[in-house]
Amino acid sequence: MAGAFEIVDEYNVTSAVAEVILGAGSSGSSGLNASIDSTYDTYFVTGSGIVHSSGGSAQYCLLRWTVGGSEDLTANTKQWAQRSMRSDTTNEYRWYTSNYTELTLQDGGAEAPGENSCFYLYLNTFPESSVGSMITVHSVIDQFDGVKAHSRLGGAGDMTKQACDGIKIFGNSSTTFVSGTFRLFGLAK
Amino acid sequence: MSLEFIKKVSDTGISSLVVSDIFSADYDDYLIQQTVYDNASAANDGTMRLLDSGGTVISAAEYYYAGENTRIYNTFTETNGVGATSFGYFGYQDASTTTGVGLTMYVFKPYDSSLFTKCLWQAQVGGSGQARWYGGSHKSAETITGIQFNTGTGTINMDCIVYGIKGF
Repeated sequence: MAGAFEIVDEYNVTSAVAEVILGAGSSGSSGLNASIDSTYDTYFVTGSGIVHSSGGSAQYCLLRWTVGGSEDLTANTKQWAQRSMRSDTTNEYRWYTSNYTELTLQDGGAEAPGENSCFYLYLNTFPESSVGSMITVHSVIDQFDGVKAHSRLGGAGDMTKQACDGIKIFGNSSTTFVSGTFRLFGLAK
Repeated sequence: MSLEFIKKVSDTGISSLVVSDIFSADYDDYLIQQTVYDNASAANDGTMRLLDSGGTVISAAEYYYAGENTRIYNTFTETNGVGATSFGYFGYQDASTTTGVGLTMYVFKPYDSSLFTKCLWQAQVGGSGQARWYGGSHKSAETITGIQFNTGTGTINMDCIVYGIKGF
Protein backbone atom coordinates (compact mmCIF):
# COMPACT_ATOMS: atom_id res chain seq x y z
CA MET A 1 0.00 0.00 0.00
CA ALA A 2 1.36 3.40 -0.91
CA GLY A 3 1.84 6.00 1.77
CA ALA A 4 -0.60 8.79 2.48
CA PHE A 5 1.92 11.50 1.58
CA GLU A 6 3.62 10.92 -1.75
CA ILE A 7 6.58 13.07 -2.78
CA VAL A 8 5.95 14.85 -6.07
CA ASP A 9 8.68 17.47 -6.35
CA GLU A 10 11.65 18.70 -4.35
CA TYR A 11 14.31 21.37 -4.58
CA ASN A 12 17.21 21.85 -2.19
CA VAL A 13 18.95 25.21 -2.45
CA THR A 14 22.71 24.67 -2.58
CA SER A 15 23.66 27.93 -4.29
CA ALA A 16 21.80 31.23 -4.31
CA VAL A 17 18.59 31.32 -6.35
CA ALA A 18 16.01 34.05 -6.82
CA GLU A 19 13.07 31.67 -6.84
CA VAL A 20 12.00 28.10 -6.31
CA ILE A 21 9.22 26.65 -8.45
CA LEU A 22 7.52 23.46 -7.34
CA GLY A 23 5.43 21.69 -9.95
CA ALA A 24 4.79 23.75 -13.11
CA GLY A 25 6.14 21.03 -15.39
CA SER A 26 9.34 21.91 -17.26
CA SER A 27 9.39 25.33 -15.55
CA GLY A 28 9.99 23.70 -12.20
CA SER A 29 13.27 24.20 -10.36
CA SER A 30 14.00 20.52 -9.84
CA GLY A 31 14.07 19.40 -13.45
CA LEU A 32 11.74 16.55 -12.52
CA ASN A 33 9.04 17.93 -14.83
CA ALA A 34 6.44 17.48 -12.10
CA SER A 35 3.08 19.23 -12.09
CA ILE A 36 0.16 19.71 -9.77
CA ASP A 37 -2.65 17.84 -11.48
CA SER A 38 -5.68 15.69 -10.73
CA THR A 39 -3.57 12.78 -9.48
CA TYR A 40 -4.24 14.26 -6.04
CA ASP A 41 -7.02 16.43 -4.65
CA THR A 42 -4.83 17.96 -1.94
CA TYR A 43 -1.16 18.84 -1.97
CA PHE A 44 1.11 19.49 1.01
CA VAL A 45 4.19 21.71 0.85
CA THR A 46 7.10 22.13 3.26
CA GLY A 47 9.79 24.78 3.24
CA SER A 48 12.50 24.54 5.89
CA GLY A 49 15.87 26.03 6.71
CA ILE A 50 15.20 29.02 4.45
CA VAL A 51 17.77 31.82 4.61
CA HIS A 52 17.62 34.99 2.53
CA SER A 53 20.73 36.57 1.05
CA SER A 54 20.94 40.26 1.85
CA GLY A 55 21.18 41.36 5.44
CA GLY A 56 19.58 44.06 7.50
CA SER A 57 16.29 44.76 5.83
CA ALA A 58 12.92 43.07 5.80
CA GLN A 59 12.65 40.26 3.28
CA TYR A 60 9.33 38.71 2.49
CA CYS A 61 9.02 35.16 1.31
CA LEU A 62 6.20 35.34 -1.23
CA LEU A 63 4.22 32.87 -3.31
CA ARG A 64 2.62 33.07 -6.73
CA TRP A 65 0.39 30.55 -8.47
CA THR A 66 1.58 29.13 -11.79
CA VAL A 67 -0.69 28.42 -14.75
CA GLY A 68 0.61 26.38 -17.65
CA GLY A 69 4.12 26.63 -16.21
CA SER A 70 4.13 30.45 -15.93
CA GLU A 71 3.51 32.59 -12.89
CA ASP A 72 0.11 34.27 -12.95
CA LEU A 73 0.75 38.00 -12.68
CA THR A 74 -2.86 39.04 -13.06
CA ALA A 75 -3.45 41.86 -10.61
CA ASN A 76 -5.99 41.78 -7.81
CA THR A 77 -7.18 38.22 -8.26
CA LYS A 78 -5.34 36.73 -5.27
CA GLN A 79 -6.80 37.34 -1.84
CA TRP A 80 -5.02 36.58 1.40
CA ALA A 81 -5.46 37.27 5.10
CA GLN A 82 -3.21 36.09 7.89
CA ARG A 83 -2.56 36.62 11.57
CA SER A 84 1.03 37.63 12.25
CA MET A 85 1.89 36.35 15.72
CA ARG A 86 4.93 37.94 17.33
CA SER A 87 6.98 37.00 20.37
CA ASP A 88 8.08 40.55 21.10
CA THR A 89 4.93 42.61 20.64
CA THR A 90 1.21 42.36 20.01
CA ASN A 91 -0.02 40.32 17.08
CA GLU A 92 -1.24 41.99 13.93
CA TYR A 93 -3.47 41.32 10.94
CA ARG A 94 -1.94 41.05 7.47
CA TRP A 95 -4.13 41.02 4.37
CA TYR A 96 -4.14 42.20 0.79
CA THR A 97 -5.55 41.66 -2.67
CA SER A 98 -2.69 41.25 -5.12
CA ASN A 99 -1.06 38.69 -7.41
CA TYR A 100 0.84 36.92 -4.64
CA THR A 101 0.59 35.98 -0.98
CA GLU A 102 3.06 36.49 1.83
CA LEU A 103 4.41 33.40 3.58
CA THR A 104 7.05 34.82 5.92
CA LEU A 105 8.76 38.09 6.77
CA GLN A 106 12.36 37.53 7.82
CA ASP A 107 15.28 39.86 8.24
CA GLY A 108 17.46 39.62 5.15
CA GLY A 109 20.27 37.18 5.74
CA ALA A 110 20.90 35.39 8.99
CA GLU A 111 21.95 38.17 11.34
CA ALA A 112 22.71 35.53 13.89
CA PRO A 113 24.01 32.17 12.68
CA GLY A 114 21.19 29.69 12.72
CA GLU A 115 18.34 32.06 11.85
CA ASN A 116 15.95 30.70 9.22
CA SER A 117 12.29 30.38 8.37
CA CYS A 118 10.00 27.41 7.80
CA PHE A 119 6.45 26.80 6.66
CA TYR A 120 3.92 24.23 5.65
CA LEU A 121 1.07 24.75 3.23
CA TYR A 122 -1.94 22.78 2.12
CA LEU A 123 -3.01 23.35 -1.48
CA ASN A 124 -6.57 22.54 -2.51
CA THR A 125 -8.53 22.69 -5.76
CA PHE A 126 -5.46 23.64 -7.76
CA PRO A 127 -6.11 21.30 -10.70
CA GLU A 128 -9.77 22.26 -11.08
CA SER A 129 -10.57 24.81 -13.76
CA SER A 130 -14.10 25.50 -12.51
CA VAL A 131 -13.06 26.98 -9.16
CA GLY A 132 -10.23 28.97 -7.58
CA SER A 133 -7.02 27.57 -6.02
CA MET A 134 -6.78 27.70 -2.24
CA ILE A 135 -3.89 27.63 0.23
CA THR A 136 -3.65 27.47 4.01
CA VAL A 137 -0.46 28.85 5.55
CA HIS A 138 1.37 28.28 8.84
CA SER A 139 4.93 29.56 9.13
CA VAL A 140 7.59 30.46 11.68
CA ILE A 141 10.39 32.96 11.28
CA ASP A 142 13.46 34.27 13.10
CA GLN A 143 12.95 37.99 12.87
CA PHE A 144 15.52 40.72 13.38
CA ASP A 145 18.52 40.66 15.63
CA GLY A 146 18.07 37.17 16.95
CA VAL A 147 15.59 38.07 19.66
CA LYS A 148 12.25 37.60 17.95
CA ALA A 149 10.22 34.70 16.63
CA HIS A 150 7.20 35.41 14.48
CA SER A 151 4.56 33.08 13.07
CA ARG A 152 1.96 33.43 10.34
CA LEU A 153 -1.38 31.65 10.29
CA GLY A 154 -4.05 32.09 7.65
CA GLY A 155 -4.89 31.49 4.06
CA ALA A 156 -4.73 32.69 0.49
CA GLY A 157 -6.74 32.08 -2.61
CA ASP A 158 -6.47 32.61 -6.33
CA MET A 159 -10.08 33.53 -7.06
CA THR A 160 -9.73 33.03 -10.79
CA LYS A 161 -11.49 29.91 -12.06
CA GLN A 162 -8.48 28.25 -13.62
CA ALA A 163 -6.27 25.21 -13.21
CA CYS A 164 -2.96 25.97 -11.45
CA ASP A 165 -0.09 23.55 -11.95
CA GLY A 166 2.48 24.80 -9.44
CA ILE A 167 3.72 27.47 -7.08
CA LYS A 168 6.59 29.92 -7.29
CA ILE A 169 8.26 30.90 -4.02
CA PHE A 170 10.45 33.98 -4.12
CA GLY A 171 11.76 36.88 -2.09
CA ASN A 172 10.79 40.50 -2.45
CA SER A 173 13.20 43.09 -3.79
CA SER A 174 16.44 41.58 -5.09
CA THR A 175 16.93 39.00 -2.37
CA THR A 176 17.87 35.43 -3.14
CA PHE A 177 17.58 32.23 -1.15
CA VAL A 178 20.98 30.94 -0.09
CA SER A 179 19.64 27.82 1.58
CA GLY A 180 16.39 25.98 2.08
CA THR A 181 14.62 22.73 1.31
CA PHE A 182 11.29 22.86 -0.53
CA ARG A 183 9.07 19.84 -1.07
CA LEU A 184 5.71 19.18 -2.71
CA PHE A 185 3.69 16.13 -1.66
CA GLY A 186 0.40 14.71 -2.90
CA LEU A 187 -2.10 13.26 -0.44
CA ALA A 188 -3.14 9.87 -1.76
CA LYS A 189 -6.80 9.39 -2.55
CA MET B 1 6.14 6.51 1.06
CA SER B 2 6.82 10.01 2.31
CA LEU B 3 5.28 10.03 5.77
CA GLU B 4 6.98 7.34 7.84
CA PHE B 5 6.12 6.20 11.34
CA ILE B 6 9.05 6.52 13.76
CA LYS B 7 7.83 5.96 17.29
CA LYS B 8 4.87 6.03 19.68
CA VAL B 9 5.42 6.61 23.38
CA SER B 10 2.77 6.72 26.10
CA ASP B 11 2.63 6.57 29.87
CA THR B 12 0.29 7.24 32.77
CA GLY B 13 0.55 9.22 35.97
CA ILE B 14 3.60 11.18 34.83
CA SER B 15 4.75 14.78 35.10
CA SER B 16 6.80 14.59 31.92
CA LEU B 17 7.11 12.41 28.85
CA VAL B 18 10.52 12.08 27.21
CA VAL B 19 10.48 11.05 23.55
CA SER B 20 14.11 10.38 22.73
CA ASP B 21 16.06 9.43 19.60
CA ILE B 22 13.34 10.45 17.16
CA PHE B 23 15.24 12.99 15.06
CA SER B 24 18.04 11.86 12.77
CA ALA B 25 19.72 12.52 9.46
CA ASP B 26 17.07 10.32 7.82
CA TYR B 27 14.55 13.18 7.67
CA ASP B 28 14.58 16.97 7.54
CA ASP B 29 11.12 17.59 8.95
CA TYR B 30 8.72 15.78 11.27
CA LEU B 31 5.03 15.50 12.10
CA ILE B 32 4.10 14.83 15.73
CA GLN B 33 0.68 13.98 17.14
CA GLN B 34 -0.65 13.82 20.68
CA THR B 35 -4.05 12.30 21.40
CA VAL B 36 -3.92 11.61 25.17
CA TYR B 37 -3.57 14.35 27.78
CA ASP B 38 -5.95 13.11 30.44
CA ASN B 39 -6.75 12.32 34.05
CA ALA B 40 -4.60 15.10 35.51
CA SER B 41 -3.94 15.22 39.23
CA ALA B 42 -4.38 18.98 39.03
CA ALA B 43 -5.31 21.51 36.37
CA ASN B 44 -2.21 22.18 34.31
CA ASP B 45 -0.90 23.90 31.22
CA GLY B 46 1.56 21.80 29.21
CA THR B 47 4.95 22.86 27.90
CA MET B 48 7.56 21.28 25.64
CA ARG B 49 11.37 21.22 25.62
CA LEU B 50 13.93 19.82 23.20
CA LEU B 51 16.64 17.22 23.82
CA ASP B 52 20.22 17.92 22.76
CA SER B 53 22.59 15.59 20.93
CA GLY B 54 23.29 13.68 24.13
CA GLY B 55 19.61 13.28 24.97
CA THR B 56 19.72 15.89 27.74
CA VAL B 57 16.68 18.12 28.19
CA ILE B 58 17.47 21.72 27.20
CA SER B 59 16.18 24.04 29.91
CA ALA B 60 18.19 27.14 29.00
CA ALA B 61 16.36 30.40 28.23
CA GLU B 62 16.49 29.79 24.47
CA TYR B 63 12.83 29.34 23.54
CA TYR B 64 10.97 32.06 21.62
CA TYR B 65 7.37 31.62 20.54
CA ALA B 66 4.13 33.39 19.70
CA GLY B 67 0.55 32.37 19.12
CA GLU B 68 -3.12 32.68 19.86
CA ASN B 69 -5.75 30.86 21.89
CA THR B 70 -9.24 30.61 20.40
CA ARG B 71 -11.62 30.08 23.31
CA ILE B 72 -15.28 29.13 23.57
CA TYR B 73 -15.94 31.10 26.73
CA ASN B 74 -14.30 34.47 26.26
CA THR B 75 -12.41 36.67 23.87
CA PHE B 76 -9.48 35.12 22.06
CA THR B 77 -6.10 35.75 23.63
CA GLU B 78 -2.52 35.99 22.38
CA THR B 79 0.52 34.86 24.33
CA ASN B 80 4.22 34.65 23.68
CA GLY B 81 7.59 33.81 25.13
CA VAL B 82 10.94 35.58 24.79
CA GLY B 83 13.95 33.78 26.16
CA ALA B 84 11.68 31.30 27.91
CA THR B 85 12.92 28.02 29.34
CA SER B 86 10.41 26.00 27.29
CA PHE B 87 7.85 26.34 24.51
CA GLY B 88 4.48 27.01 26.13
CA TYR B 89 0.82 26.38 25.41
CA PHE B 90 0.57 22.72 24.51
CA GLY B 91 -2.04 20.49 26.17
CA TYR B 92 -4.30 21.89 28.88
CA GLN B 93 -6.37 19.70 31.13
CA ASP B 94 -8.57 20.08 34.18
CA ALA B 95 -8.16 17.84 37.20
CA SER B 96 -9.54 14.31 36.95
CA THR B 97 -10.88 14.86 33.47
CA THR B 98 -10.63 12.58 30.46
CA THR B 99 -11.36 14.21 27.13
CA GLY B 100 -8.34 13.51 24.95
CA VAL B 101 -6.45 16.20 23.08
CA GLY B 102 -5.86 16.88 19.41
CA LEU B 103 -2.33 18.20 19.07
CA THR B 104 -0.45 18.44 15.77
CA MET B 105 3.11 19.75 15.64
CA TYR B 106 5.59 20.13 12.80
CA VAL B 107 9.31 20.23 13.67
CA PHE B 108 11.68 21.57 11.03
CA LYS B 109 15.33 20.51 10.60
CA PRO B 110 16.00 19.66 14.25
CA TYR B 111 18.99 17.49 13.40
CA ASP B 112 20.81 20.28 11.50
CA SER B 113 23.39 21.65 13.91
CA SER B 114 23.72 24.89 11.93
CA LEU B 115 20.09 25.98 12.29
CA PHE B 116 17.68 27.07 15.01
CA THR B 117 15.04 24.35 15.27
CA LYS B 118 11.55 25.52 14.39
CA CYS B 119 8.21 24.20 15.63
CA LEU B 120 4.64 24.90 14.55
CA TRP B 121 1.89 23.49 16.73
CA GLN B 122 -1.87 23.62 16.95
CA ALA B 123 -4.19 21.88 19.37
CA GLN B 124 -7.75 21.54 20.50
CA VAL B 125 -7.13 20.99 24.20
CA GLY B 126 -9.34 19.04 26.55
CA GLY B 127 -9.59 21.53 29.38
CA SER B 128 -10.73 25.11 29.31
CA GLY B 129 -12.51 24.90 25.95
CA GLN B 130 -9.89 26.29 23.65
CA ALA B 131 -7.69 25.70 20.64
CA ARG B 132 -4.10 26.90 20.30
CA TRP B 133 -2.09 28.05 17.29
CA TYR B 134 1.64 28.66 17.77
CA GLY B 135 5.04 28.96 16.18
CA GLY B 136 8.38 28.90 17.93
CA SER B 137 12.14 29.00 17.44
CA HIS B 138 14.77 27.42 19.66
CA LYS B 139 17.50 30.02 19.28
CA SER B 140 20.55 27.85 19.72
CA ALA B 141 22.09 26.23 16.67
CA GLU B 142 22.66 22.62 17.73
CA THR B 143 21.60 19.08 16.97
CA ILE B 144 18.23 18.18 18.49
CA THR B 145 17.38 14.51 18.97
CA GLY B 146 14.06 14.45 20.82
CA ILE B 147 11.41 16.27 22.83
CA GLN B 148 9.98 16.32 26.33
CA PHE B 149 6.38 17.21 27.21
CA ASN B 150 5.79 18.59 30.70
CA THR B 151 2.65 19.21 32.74
CA GLY B 152 3.99 22.04 34.84
CA THR B 153 1.77 20.91 37.71
CA GLY B 154 0.98 17.41 38.90
CA THR B 155 0.73 14.24 36.86
CA ILE B 156 -1.23 13.17 33.80
CA ASN B 157 -1.55 10.45 31.15
CA MET B 158 0.21 11.35 27.89
CA ASP B 159 1.12 9.93 24.51
CA CYS B 160 3.18 11.06 21.53
CA ILE B 161 3.33 9.70 17.97
CA VAL B 162 6.19 10.75 15.69
CA TYR B 163 6.43 10.60 11.89
CA GLY B 164 9.25 11.56 9.56
CA ILE B 165 8.44 13.53 6.42
CA LYS B 166 10.55 11.93 3.72
CA GLY B 167 11.67 13.51 0.49
CA PHE B 168 13.35 11.86 -2.44
